[in-house]
Amino acid sequence: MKLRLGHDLLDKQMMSSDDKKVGRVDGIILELHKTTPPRVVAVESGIETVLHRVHCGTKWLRAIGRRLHVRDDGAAIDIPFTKIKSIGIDVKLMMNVEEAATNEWEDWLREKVVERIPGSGKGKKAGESK
Amino acid sequence: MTAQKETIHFEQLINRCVFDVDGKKVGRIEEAVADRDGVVNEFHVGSAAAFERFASSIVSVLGVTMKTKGYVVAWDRIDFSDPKKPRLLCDLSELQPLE
Repeated sequence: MKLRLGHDLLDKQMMSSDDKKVGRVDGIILELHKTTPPRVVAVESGIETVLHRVHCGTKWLRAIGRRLHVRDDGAAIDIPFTKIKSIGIDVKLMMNVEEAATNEWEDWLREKVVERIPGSGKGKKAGESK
Repeated sequence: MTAQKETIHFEQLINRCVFDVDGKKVGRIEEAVADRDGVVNEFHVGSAAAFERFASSIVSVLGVTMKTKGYVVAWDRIDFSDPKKPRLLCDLSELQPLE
């Protein structure tokens, strides 16, 4: 099976093993080696990777993330390629939402902002579609 | 001694101009083709590759024929030591045209 990275993988929706949305494939990491072909080692997800693609704002986003304790190391989230179960309309992972940990910004906003808005009730967890 | 490994972001390679051994522009990287294990065997370069990525179905439905150039570049014929300026390691005539 041929996999076209730009067409078949990049920007596709990722689904966890329990069928919840866990963000999109925002980046693809290739490992280069002098004597063997390049290899996809991981896919990246997160606003930081998207901003990096448009060449802006990654430094201050990291700083804000660290300051707000969204993610202590401020780095983008890598999902190993070996954790991808299948690639079709969606990219299905062999891990659940918590393992993927791609929704940290969404979870932070839900806990700190959305749930505090009067009348909001309990905020939906990121990735829940219904 | 361990083999040196580097990592590179594919999304940052897209649209990068590839230059031949004489420093002439060959085209832009538009696609990389891997097998199911993630091993990348070839890169598609040039405007034909861009059409392959975005508009091939629309163009074929409309029956429009467009003059585009594109090449299939095997993984060992491209040098990413400077990812901002990928270079061909062979002559342009040795590349397989993209159809």
